[in-house]
Amino acid sequence: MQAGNTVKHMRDSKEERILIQKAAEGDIESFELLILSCKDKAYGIALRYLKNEEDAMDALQESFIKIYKGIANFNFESKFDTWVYRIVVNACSDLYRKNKKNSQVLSMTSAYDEEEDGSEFDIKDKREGPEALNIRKEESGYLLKCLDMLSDEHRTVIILRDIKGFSYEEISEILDCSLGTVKSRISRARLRLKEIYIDGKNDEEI
Amino acid sequence: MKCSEIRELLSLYIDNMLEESLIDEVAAHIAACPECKSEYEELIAMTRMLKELPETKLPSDFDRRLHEALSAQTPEAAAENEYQVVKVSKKKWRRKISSICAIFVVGIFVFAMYNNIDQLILGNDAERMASSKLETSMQDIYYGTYNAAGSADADEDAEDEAAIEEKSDLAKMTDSSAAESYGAAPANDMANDAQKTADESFVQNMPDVSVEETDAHDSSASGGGNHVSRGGDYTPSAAFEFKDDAVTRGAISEARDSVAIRYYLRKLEKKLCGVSFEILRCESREEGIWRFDIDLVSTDEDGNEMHDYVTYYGQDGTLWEKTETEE
Repeated sequence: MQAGNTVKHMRDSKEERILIQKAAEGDIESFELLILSCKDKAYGIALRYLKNEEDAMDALQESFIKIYKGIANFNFESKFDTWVYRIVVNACSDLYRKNKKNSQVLSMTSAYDEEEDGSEFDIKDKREGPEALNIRKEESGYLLKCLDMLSDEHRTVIILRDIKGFSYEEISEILDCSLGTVKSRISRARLRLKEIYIDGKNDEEI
Repeated sequence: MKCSEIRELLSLYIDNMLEESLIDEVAAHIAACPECKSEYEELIAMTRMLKELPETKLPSDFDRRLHEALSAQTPEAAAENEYQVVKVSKKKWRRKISSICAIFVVGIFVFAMYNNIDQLILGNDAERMASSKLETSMQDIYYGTYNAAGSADADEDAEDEAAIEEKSDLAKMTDSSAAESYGAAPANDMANDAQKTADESFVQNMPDVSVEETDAHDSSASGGGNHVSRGGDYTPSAAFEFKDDAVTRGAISEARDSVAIRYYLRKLEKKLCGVSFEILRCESREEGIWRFDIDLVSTDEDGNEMHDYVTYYGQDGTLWEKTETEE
């Protein structure tokens, strides 16, 4: 499970309300404080969805600007962070579709090589030897490629559940759908991803 | 459960989201079925792989870029927020106005209803009033001992005034022949006979009326044998005991209604041009309408008594005979 942010802000709802109120009045600093706890995770979602940093940052910035402009309309029906994630997921989905239309099919290796920074692995896997690292890189690259072959809905729930670690309930809130829908979607997404993964492997072997 | 069904539940089982009743079954199946077991294990491996994907880190220049973008937004954002605030308050204002109007409309409605109910209630009250005074009133009217109370509704009609005058005159009279009540023809020579007939018929035909002494009915009827007396003293309670269905239903208040009854009965006299009649029933219907059930009595050539039962209605000073179509 991925660790959370290095700096975790435990914010009570009253404090949050004050920040929201100030941001609604145009206070940028309050807004920046408000998004501090969720922006890293939001970026993670965007990156896994869109596969490259630039797109992920674009989607994220666009989302935050949209949120900043519309913050006066926040109705407190959900938590603020949940609202952020919902908007980010939608922005990613939109940009993904746009990219698909415009760009050619990316090569199997290029896209995933770019994003992977060796330093990431260093922090986590100090105990493992170089070999293991390489295998891991490949594996993860391959897995991400398989992820890309899923439908939008399946990709979304895999990212939220298995990659970012949201609970079933949180996912149902973010996606604004029933818990039952979340359950069946996750089940089918995993089975499908497994199929693709295994099929791909089989193809390779052949 | 079949393998295909188990397969769909594996994800939930892995995440501890499976409902309790199914957990044991799935666990048992996995233990027993090799295919489902490998499915299960593959799923676990894959979720673990996903979990272990490298953590992503927000690029360092993101914050700066966002800040710039937000600063560029501020005047627009503020304007939009204001606009939204204004929109909201306008909506609220409109809603308030609507609710005030709604309350106003309801208020008017209630006011109108209240006014109507007023009358309805009074109507009912009037009905309930003085049913006990019923006997008194009827007797008064019949035997002319009516006291024109000061509060009596003054009917503008001249006839009614005449009726009132006659009433007071009657009250003074002690002479039985002179104290002709209703059913008496203006013609004097007919008077006594008519009176006698009227009296007899009245007493005999009056349904459910019990008279204390029926046999000793005296044609002169000057308060003699029977207690059916007129023109003078009488004992209201003794003379007639009206049963509920006998005579008058509806509102009779001593003063006002007796005047109306007298008025209509006088009119009836005139209408009938001297044919004698008895009142069988006198009823006040909904406000202002009176109903008189009468019996026209006559003798044919052979001397047999003929009875003709007729109903008349009176309202607003007009008297008319009931036709078939009316209720």
